[in-house]
Parts: sequence; C-alpha cells; structure tokens
Amino acid sequence: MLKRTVLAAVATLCVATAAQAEKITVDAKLPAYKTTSGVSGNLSSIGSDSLNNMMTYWAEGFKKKYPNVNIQIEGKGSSTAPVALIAGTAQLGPMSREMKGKEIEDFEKKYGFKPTKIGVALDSLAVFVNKDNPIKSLSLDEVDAIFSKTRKRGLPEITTWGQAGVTGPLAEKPISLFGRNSASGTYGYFKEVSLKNGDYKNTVKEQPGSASVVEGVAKDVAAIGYSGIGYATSGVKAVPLSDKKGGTVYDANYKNVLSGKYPLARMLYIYVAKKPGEPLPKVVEEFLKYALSKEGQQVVVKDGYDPLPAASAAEQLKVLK
Amino acid sequence: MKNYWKRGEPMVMVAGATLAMVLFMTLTMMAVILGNSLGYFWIKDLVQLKLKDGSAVLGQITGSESHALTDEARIQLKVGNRDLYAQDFRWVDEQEIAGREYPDHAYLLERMEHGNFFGYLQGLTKADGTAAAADSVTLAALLHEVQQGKQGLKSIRKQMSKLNMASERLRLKIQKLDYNGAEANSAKIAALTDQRAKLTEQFDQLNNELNQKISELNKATALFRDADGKEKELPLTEIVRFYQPNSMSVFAKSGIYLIKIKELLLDDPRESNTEGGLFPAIFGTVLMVLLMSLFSMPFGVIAAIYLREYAKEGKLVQLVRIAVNNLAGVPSIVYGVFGLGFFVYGIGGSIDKLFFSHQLPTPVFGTGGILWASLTLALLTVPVVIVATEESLASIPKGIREGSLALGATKFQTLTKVLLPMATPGIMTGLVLSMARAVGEVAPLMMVGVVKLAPTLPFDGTFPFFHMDRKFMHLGFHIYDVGFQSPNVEAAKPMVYVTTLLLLVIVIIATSLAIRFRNQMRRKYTTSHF
Amino acid sequence: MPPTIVDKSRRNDRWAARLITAGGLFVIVAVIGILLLIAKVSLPLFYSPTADKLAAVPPEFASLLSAEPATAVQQVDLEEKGSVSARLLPDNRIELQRRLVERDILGTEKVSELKETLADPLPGAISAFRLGRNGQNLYAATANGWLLRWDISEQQARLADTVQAFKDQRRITALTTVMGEYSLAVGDEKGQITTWMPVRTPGAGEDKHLALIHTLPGFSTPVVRLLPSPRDKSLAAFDGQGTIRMVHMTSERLLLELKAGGPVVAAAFADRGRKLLVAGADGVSQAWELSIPHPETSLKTLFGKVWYEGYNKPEYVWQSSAATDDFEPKLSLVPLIFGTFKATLFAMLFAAPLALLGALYTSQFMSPGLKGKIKPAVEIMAAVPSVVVGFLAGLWLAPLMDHNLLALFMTLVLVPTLIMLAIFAWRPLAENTDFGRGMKGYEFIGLLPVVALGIWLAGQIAPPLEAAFFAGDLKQWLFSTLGVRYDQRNSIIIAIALGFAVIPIIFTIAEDALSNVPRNLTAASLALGASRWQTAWRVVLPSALPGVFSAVMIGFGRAVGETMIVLMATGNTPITSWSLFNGLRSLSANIAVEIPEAPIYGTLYRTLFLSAVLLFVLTFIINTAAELLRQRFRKKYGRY
Repeated sequence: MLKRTVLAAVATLCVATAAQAEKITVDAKLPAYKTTSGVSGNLSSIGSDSLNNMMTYWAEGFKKKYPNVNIQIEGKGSSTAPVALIAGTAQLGPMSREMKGKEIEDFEKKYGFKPTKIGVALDSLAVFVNKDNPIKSLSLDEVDAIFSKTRKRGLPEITTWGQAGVTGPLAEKPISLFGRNSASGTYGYFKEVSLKNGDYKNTVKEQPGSASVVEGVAKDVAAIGYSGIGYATSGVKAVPLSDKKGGTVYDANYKNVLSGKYPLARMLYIYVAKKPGEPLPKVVEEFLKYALSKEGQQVVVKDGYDPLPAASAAEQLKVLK
Repeated sequence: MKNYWKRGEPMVMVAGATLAMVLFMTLTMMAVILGNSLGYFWIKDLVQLKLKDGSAVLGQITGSESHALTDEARIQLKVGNRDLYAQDFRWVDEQEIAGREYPDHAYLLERMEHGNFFGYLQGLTKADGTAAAADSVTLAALLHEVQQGKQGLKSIRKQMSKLNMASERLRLKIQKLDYNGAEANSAKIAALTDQRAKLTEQFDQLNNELNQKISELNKATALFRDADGKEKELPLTEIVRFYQPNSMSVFAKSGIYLIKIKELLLDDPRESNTEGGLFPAIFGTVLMVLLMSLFSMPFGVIAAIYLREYAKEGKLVQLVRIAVNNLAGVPSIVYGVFGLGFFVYGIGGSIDKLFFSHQLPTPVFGTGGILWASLTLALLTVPVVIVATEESLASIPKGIREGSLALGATKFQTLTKVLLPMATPGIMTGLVLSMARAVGEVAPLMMVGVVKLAPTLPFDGTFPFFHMDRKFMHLGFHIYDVGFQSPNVEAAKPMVYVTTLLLLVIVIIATSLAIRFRNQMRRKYTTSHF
Repeated sequence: MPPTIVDKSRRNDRWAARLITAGGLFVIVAVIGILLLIAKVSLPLFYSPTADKLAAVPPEFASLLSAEPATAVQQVDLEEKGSVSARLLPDNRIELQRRLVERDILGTEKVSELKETLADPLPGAISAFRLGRNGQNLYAATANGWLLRWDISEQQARLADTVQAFKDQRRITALTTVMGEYSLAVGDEKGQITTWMPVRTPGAGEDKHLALIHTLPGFSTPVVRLLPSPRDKSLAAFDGQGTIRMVHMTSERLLLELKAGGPVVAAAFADRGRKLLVAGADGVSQAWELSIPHPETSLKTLFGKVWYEGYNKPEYVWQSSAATDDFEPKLSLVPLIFGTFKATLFAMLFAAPLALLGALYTSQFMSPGLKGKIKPAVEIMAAVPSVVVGFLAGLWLAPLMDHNLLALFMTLVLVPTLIMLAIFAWRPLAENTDFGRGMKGYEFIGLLPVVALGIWLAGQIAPPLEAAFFAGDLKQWLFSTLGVRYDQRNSIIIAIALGFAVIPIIFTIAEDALSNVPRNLTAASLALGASRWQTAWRVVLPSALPGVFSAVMIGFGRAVGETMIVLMATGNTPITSWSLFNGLRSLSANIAVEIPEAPIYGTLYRTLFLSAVLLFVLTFIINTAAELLRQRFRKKYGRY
C-alpha cells in the first residue's frame, strides 16, 4: 500500500512532465551532475539483480568522473542487500523492493539506527509472453490463478492458454511458467502484489537472472514470465494488465506508471547505512547524487526503466542531508 | 556369417559406435561454440528492407524462423539504434517485405553508449561550429582529430587521479587519528585537513579545465539519419569507429576483425559487460589461478611425498589416500560454502577485528576477495596435485632410490636431488590439471569473491601492489552473468559465446600441456612390460 | 666426508621427515575439519531452545501486563484503516463495532461507522471468541465444541463457517489467531491444543472451510490461555496451574516448558517476541528471556510432509523466502534430494553405457597410434568448464529440443538401426578385403558419418511424421492424450548435459582400469583362439570390474555435486515427479541460488549448510566405496 501512495505522490508532483508512451525523456529540470574533489576510495554494491545493470552503468559513468574510485558490483538479488549492509560488505544496497521488518530490525540491532532508503528509479514489472502469443490482456487475478498454488485471489486454477482467454492453436497448450529465484526482489514483489503473498506453483521455473526469464519466454511459445520491463527483447511482449478481472487494462508505459494506474509499478531503491545527523561517506553521497542527476537518470532510460521526475528526485536527495 | 556373430565382431562395432557418438557430441559442442563466436566480429553487410507499409528498415540479418503458430517465415534483423528504437533487434515478416537493397553508403557506427548505430551521414560540424563536407573521408579526419583530443585529456585525468589519491590517503589518516582520540590529535587533524583543502582546490581547477576541454570536444558533431529519416546528432567523441560495410573489401573486414580481437583481449568491458573487452576478467582469472597454485603446489607436493616416501604403508596411509580421493570428489559448491563460512566470515572477520577495527563496519578481509577465492580453489585442487605427484613418484623405479641411498645419500638428499627432478613432469601435470579445473570452476567462486564488475584490478601500481582483499572478475562467471543477467540478452549472446570460446581455449591449452608433460614422463620412465 | 656435513644432512633429513609427516597429517585433519566446520554451522538448527528467567520484569515492558484487555471486549487497531471492536453480550451474542477509513489515491478520507449485533443462530453458548488482528475475521467457540467464523472484511458480517470441531462436545476454553492471521489456535478443557485453518474441501468448489491441521503438544488439564508470538508461528499455552508451554504450530514442536508457580492472570510477549512476561494471581510478575533461534525446524519439517497455511494437503515444499515478514519459510529438503538423485540417475543412464563401451573399445580394439590421440581428446573434454556446458544446455539445447522433440526420439531409434545396418553391410568387407582388414582398430571413424546420417535423417523425417501421427505437435499430443506436460527445461536436457560432463570422467578412469589388465592375460586368451571381443568381454572386463565400477561411482559422485549445469539448464523447480519431461531442483544448485540471500546464521543459512553436509556425506560414502574397490583391484593385479 505504501508503494502505491509513494507512486501517487510522485504522480501528483509531476503531471506536467508525464511523457509520451513510446519515447521516454528525462525531466529537463533534473540537476546536471557537478564533479567535486576528494572523491575516492572503495565503493561496493551488493543487491538487486534488477538494478544490477543500472548500477553497472552508473559505476561506469561514475568511474569516468572519478578514476580512482574502486567500484565493485554484485547483483544476485535484493535479499542480498540487507545481508551485505548488515555484514558491512557493501556501502550501497540496491533493492527492488522495500526492506522487510525483520531486515530493518536486524539492521537496527547492528547499527543502532534505521537504514536509509533512496528511490532511484521507477519500474513497471512486466508480465511477458512470447511474441507470437495472441493474448491481448490479463488481470492480476488471472496471473494469480496461473502462477500460484494457493490462489489467494480466488480464481480457479488456469493451466492452459485457453482458460486464460486465448483462442486458436495456442488455446490447448499448457502454460509454461518462468520466474525469478527467491533472492530477487522481483520475486518477492510479484508474490506480494500479484499472488497476495500466496505461494508459487512448484512448476515455476526459477531462473537465476531476469535475462534468462526473458530468454526462456522468447524461446517457448506457450511460456509466460515476469521481470522488470528493462529486460524486454524482440522475442517477447509485455501484456497489458488490469488489477481485477474485467477491470480497465493498462500498458506498462511511463505514463501509466507515473499515474499509478499500472498495477505492477514500483520504485527501485538504494539502501545505505546513514547515521542520523552525520553525512554519508563522500564517495557514497556523490554516487547517489550522480544517480539522481540528469546524467544518472538518462542511464535509467538507457537501461529500460523509468526515470524519476525532477521533483521526486529532489525529494530523494533531501534524505541525504 | 555365423562365425562373424559368434566372434562378437558386431559388438566391437557397437562399442566403436558409442565412441563415435561421444566424439560426435564433442564435435557438435565445438561447432556450436565456434559457429556462434567466430562470426561475432565479422562485419555483416547492411541490408535495407522496404516494407509494404512504406517504412524502411536498415540492419544486419541475424536469423530467421517461422512463426510458432502460423508458420509464416520471418527474419530477424539487428537494427541497432537502441536510443531511437529501445530495442536492438526486430523481427520482420517475409511477406511484409517489398524490396531489399544493400546501399553502399550506409554507415555502421560503433559507439561508446547505446550500442551500434546504422544509418546515413547527413552532415558534419567541426569543433569551431562550421559545417564540413558530409563524406566518409572528412568524417575519418574529424574523428581522428577528436580522438587525438581525447588522448590529450588523459594526462589531466591522471593528474586528477593523483590528487584524489593523495586526498584519500589524508582522509584515512585523519580517520585513524580521529579513531585513536580526536582531542589528543586535534592539532594534527587540523593540519591534515588544511592540506586536504589545498589538494581539493587544485583538483577543482583541473576539473574545470577538463570539463571545458570536454565540452569543446563535444562541439564536433555528426548528423545521421536512420532508414526512416529519423535524425540523430552525435558528438564525435561518442563514436569509437565507423565503417561502410557494404563497400568494404574482405581484406578491410579482416583487418577490423583482428583489431576487434585485440580489443577483446585488452580492453575494459563497456555497457554493462555486453560490449568492449574482457581484460579484467582474463586478468582476474589468471591471477586467481596463479595465486591458487602458490597455495596448492607446496601442500600437494609435500602431502604426496609423505604418502609415497615417508609414511609406512598401513591403515593410516590407506586412510589418508581415501581422504585425499574424497577431497577430490567433494562437490565444489561444498568448498564454496566452506570458504564462505571459514575463510570469509571466520578468518577474514577475525583479521578485520584485529587489524582494521577503525574501518569497521566496512570490512577489508571479511568479505569475498581474490585471496579467499584462491584459497578456496587451492583446497579444491590440492588433491589433484597430490594424486599426480604420488603417481609420478611411484613410477620412478625402485632401483634409482636404492642406488642413491647406497651411494650414501640421505633420504632427504635422495628426494631433493634425485626423485623430485625426475618427478617434475608429473608434478607439473598435476599442477596444470588443477589449473584447468580452477579456471573453469564458477559455483564456489560466486560465494567468495567474484563480481560482475570490478574494473580495478587486484594488482596495480599503488602500494602494496597486490590488493588481496579486492574482488575480481572471472571468465566463467562472466559467461553466467552475461548469459543470464544482462539487460539486452539478444545483443549480449554472441559475447557469451566469444567468452566461452576464450575460456575453452585457455582450458584446452592448459590440459594439452599437462597431457604432453605426462606422456613425455611416461616415455622416459616406464619399463616395458610383457 | 667431514662429520659435520653428515650431521647436518642427517639433521636436515630428520626435520624434513617431521615436516612432511606433519603436512600429510594436515591433509587428513583438513578433510575432517571441513566436514566438522560445515556441520558446526548447521547443528544449531537442532539445539533445544532455552529460556533465562530475568530477575524482574523490565520496567519498560511492565505496562504490557496491566494493559491486557478484559476478556469480554476485544479491540483491534487497524492504524490508518480504522479500528474494530467486538463485545460479548450477556445474551450469548456478539456485538461488532467497526470504524473503517478508506483513502483514495489523492488522500481524501471516507469514514464509515458500522455497528451490528451478530444475529446468526448459534449451536451453543459462546465460551471464547477472538477478533483477528487484521480485522478480517471474527472467531468464536462454544462450550459444546463448535467453532464459528464470521467474515467481516465486507460491509456486512457473514457467518462463513460453523464447524463441529470436537465430536465429544468438549468445551473450548481458549482461542487465538496465529501470526499471519490465517490459522486459528484452539485450546480445550481436555488440555489439547489444535490449530485450524480454512481449506478448500474437495467437491466444495472454491470455498474454504476451517479444518483441523495440527495437533500440538498440550496439557492434561484445561488450556486457559493461548498467546501467539509476534515473531513466528509459535504459541505460548497456559494451563490453570501456571505451566507454560511454548509450542510451534508448523513443526508441532514443544519448544519450552516453563513454570510460573501458580495460576497466571495476564501474559504478554515483549521485545518482538524475545521476552515472555506473565503476571500471577498472587500479584507477582515474572519474565523470561527466550532464545528460540529456529523454532520452525525439526526433522519432520525438513524431511516430512508438512501441511502449510494456504495448502489443501500436506506436501513437501521448498519455498524459502518472500518480501513480507509474516511469510513462513518452507524448507523441505525432500524435493531437493529427490531432484539430485533424479538428475544423477538419468545422467548416469545416459553416460555410463556410452562411456564404458567407448572405454572398452578404446582400450581393447583401437589401434595404438590412434589411442594416443583419442584418449587425450576425451581427457580434454573432461576439462570443459561446467559453466560452458550449462550455458549451452540452457540456452542452445533446450530451445532446440523444444522444437525438435520428435526428432530426438527418432534419433534414438534411427541411429541404432543405422548402426546395425552398417554392421550388416560391413560384414562381407570386413574379412575379405584388404580395406576391411585395414579398418580393424579404426571402425569408429567409419561409424561417425553413420551417426551423423542418423541424426540428419531424424531431423528430416520428424516433421512429416509429426504432422501425420501427432497432429503436427508432439508436445500437444502428449499433453492432451497422455496428460504429460512437456517443460522446456526438463530432465532429458539435464541427462544429456550432465551426462556429457561425466562421460569423460567415467571414460578415463574405466579406460585406465581396462588398459591396466595385464597383457599376458589377453595374450593367453587370444592364443587359445578366443576372438578379440570374447577376450575383451570374458577376460578383460571381469578382471577390471572393480576399476570399472569405481569409475561409475566416481562419475556418480561428480554428477551428484555438479552445480552450474543443473542451475543453468533446469528451471530449478522443486518437483517430486519421475517424469522425464519436467525439471528438478538439486541440492547443489539450490545452495548456489539461495546462499547469497541467506542472512548469516539464520534458519535458511543453516539449512543450506545442512544440505552441504548431506552432499558431503553422500559423496564421501560413494567415493570411499569407489576407492576401497580400486585398492582391492590394485592388490589383485598389484604386480603392474
């Protein structure tokens, strides 16, 4: 619910800047990044696989500005971020979901203060099907009936494409399910929102990376899978979604994400251990500033995700103070 | 006929057939890897398709298939221009195509960002703002100029880097003083802070200079358009290289092919590891393996000598042999788990507590790093060295030992002066085999220090040169990462095959060397039987 | 030689002997050490929980005990969504009062106040009731053993369940919801503690009704109070004499038994479930510091079928984490062990015959010159990194097979057929021509094109066959006619990929064993007029059998522990089915996938270490058996 309100807040802040569906441009009002001195040292990031490539892009850009910053990026899943932050193995913890209560509690036990989260990009989690799949739209209720064995949304189980409303030669085919492994924030977020915290079926093929989910769906006409929209390739298409069955469907485009209408929109975060009242280490602070700058948000677009509007980027920067 | 069956000749054929099948599978694997990787650097021609809806597409044909449900034929094009189209690839139905042509003047640009650009040159603007003739010769000249300019920036960057490093060293000093007692050291701290502020000032000056130069360089631009007429203005600094594939000779293409292989081996990766080179990964792999040998060699050889030359044959030795063979058979993932629990969290955590307590909670050794990875793999490969050394010691005829001892040499002298030199090829075999195993091992490394991106090498010019605590990149992990986690999996796939080929070549060379050594040794010492 | 030098070299010799002995012993210690260390991490899973009695109730928590609400009224604060309260009226009815706040996306609030008395006819006198903490359900129990549930998530409360929980009409004395608000814990006058949850009953469609799921270790006297832990699915149960039992719902474990010394009038958890506070009837309060690190783990949850919340029957489930706190990790090792064995078995079925026959051919029939080339080639194959094999299997072979499944089956038929044909055709050439005799020791080269031809032919005739017999789609036919689901990442892929990885290992060791059989044995056999096949089959193979067997065992051991291939080429689906057409999840791949996310020393972390111990022990047994066999073999033919 909280996420929804964050997104709604973002939406109200920036109705004017909502861009067109196809081509996403970053908000012109975003600040350009200014290089400062004294930025060096080690910077280690461990966390979300969805954010992995974005972190790598940012690291590439950041290293260009500060050649002797030593950056290491690891991305095996959002659940690795709190573990690494608590163990101190990373200063940046990119996560594609919010920290759980237990994780925050563990963090507090170690540091004595709560972790600080900084929203760095928007993402529309997409449900992908093969490019040859004629399906027009799906509701999350149906998605739950496809993916879940506990089916908390209540629809009867869907095992073939025909039951999901497809006609023609595909209708008889059993649905082949692709998903992420449990370390991924995408897995957790999808479970929370689409499955209402139900359990996945045993037959969901857990892939160790979003790219292999997309690759699997691209190579199997009867497949369905979920991952961040940034991983889309020419072999798959993102299905427009509605929340309830029979509700209005929305494409996974920037406009619908900003307006909060697309049901699987989420914020992507970087968590840091910031002692209240004390500034972050310079290199970490500058990295975050870079990520929230115009250049940084251009990287977001390059990676296929949705950039933050200037107002909400400024909002996030305030947290660093 | 009956005899033929009775003598079992057909069964010989059947056995031969199984071998043929095994070989066939191996050949297929090699063919798949070679086929998918060798072509990657070859510049394919650009085809322009006119579609029935009036639009045009320019790109390289990369594949074809039929629609999974309707069986209509279609082709896949790499259309590039990711910044314009959002995707590098596009499927086009054959029946939508109205015409194909191969325009001579179509350009292929390799760019720093957003992958390749396919299009036509429309105009050129020099750095001073004047227009230049829009042809490939002028473009080449201007590009050369810009790249020269970019080279010039390097010295400024180097200076900045030095200042930055000095500043960081001061910061650490201040931090340490602060940790040891902020009040007692306040004078020192103030002095250092002052020093640091001066450095900062210098840095800012250089930075301004750099930014100015960059923005000047960025003024030189080229205007391109894609097949559909969409225009795109590119600063020349963004362009790595350009060519017009359709009017290139095979010879020119071969030249580029070689240049690209050189880039692959020596450059840093770009665009989230999907482009550029593999240098940090190659370097990381090699360094890790060398470090590993440093650990596994002495232990392996000593253990083998103990077993073969010193221990009394009996229950204990039998037990040790079983233990050694068991170590060889333990799944590598278990070693990874062990390395994580023992080396990283156990030893590493203790080192941090003892020596780097002022930096905590940021760990130095309490996290995965090249040292822990090497140690973990050393543990994994020690049995290989032991077994190989033992075998080569065993193959030395008894008479040689007895001869040496009879001449008055001690056991140790016999060992170092006679036996070890003779066993060297065998020991080398073990070493190289263990290296081959280590090069290809990925699962345990994922836990103890391999990362997706670590362009800073664990070995560099700053004191203490070897940074054993740094994480590193690895070819095997690179395959896993780019193949399964890259953002643009279609574009990245050839890169995965290329990496695979490279890894395979390294492994095969290492193994072949080992086998040669072994055969040499065998020839030298085997006494003929029968 | 001056005596000093002799002394020195003697001293050196002694030192070297000591050093080398120490090194050798270190290796044994290392093996045992590794096992012990991994086991040490996983063992705390099975430690008994402990509780330390605190000297006094910490003052900051003292208010928790006094603030316990009167039993006749229950209130739930839903924070920004309002609040709900329920009151038991003297006439055996429950009055429900709700204040619901709805917020739309712009933040405007709409408040509705609802008040109703539940008028449904009841089967008996209400002896306990409980308002769910998320304000979605209201539970009540009667003095004659009935359970009732009202769904209060909508505007109108609806009696969703009326269940006769106990046939013997016993009085239900305590009710509470377990963390997660899905299960209901019930305590009765006989001292039994049970948990109930809504389950889809067969034939009742999509509706769910309360059913008895777990029976927990209870008392012999009535349960007077049940208190759910805010940390996990544990409960604290109290009897009338002040005995407190901490029990865990899913594992049905008795975690702790504490004595309060007398009847308890109020109890509460504090510090997120780490402390238990109780107030006695005598006015004395007590507090315990609880240390229950892994309440959900027991041998039964790791290796048995468990009925989890939301499931319709007990199952083996591996589902380790989620994005929310109230999720219960489901850590059954059974599907993983099953997956490991399934992968290994299929891979061995594929690899062992190919590798062993190939080794037999290479060692006995192949011309020596060629053998010197083929053997290294196979050894090089052994060095192919598993990440390469896994990548090819997952991204190249799996889609290829998906499109050409029938061709694969045709290959299995056609290649042997063609080889048989080739053998027949070869016969007249074999003994009567120079060429035929010259091919002895080179037969397999001639067979290479036959294999290639078979595969090509299979690819050619599969599409028309598929169109003729399977309506153009074999996978579809399998699904609609046989009900078999074909998954793209399936066990055939694993069998081939894993098999490919272990073939060279088995081949090399078996070939060594076969080649090491003394030549005088074969020579004698051949001299007595046996053919080369008869010699190989009846003389060489039996002599080398222990070595060959140990080759298979070592291959088996390698397949069990192989990680990257299984990780990349399967879907990591924790399924327990023997079907060739669906995937699996193995212990080793599971460790690789899950360990990065596992908080250090948490339940998942330790469970993964436990699976590493399992792998270790498994390969240890296999390898030891193989090694003992090999040593026996060496003794038998020790001369060589």
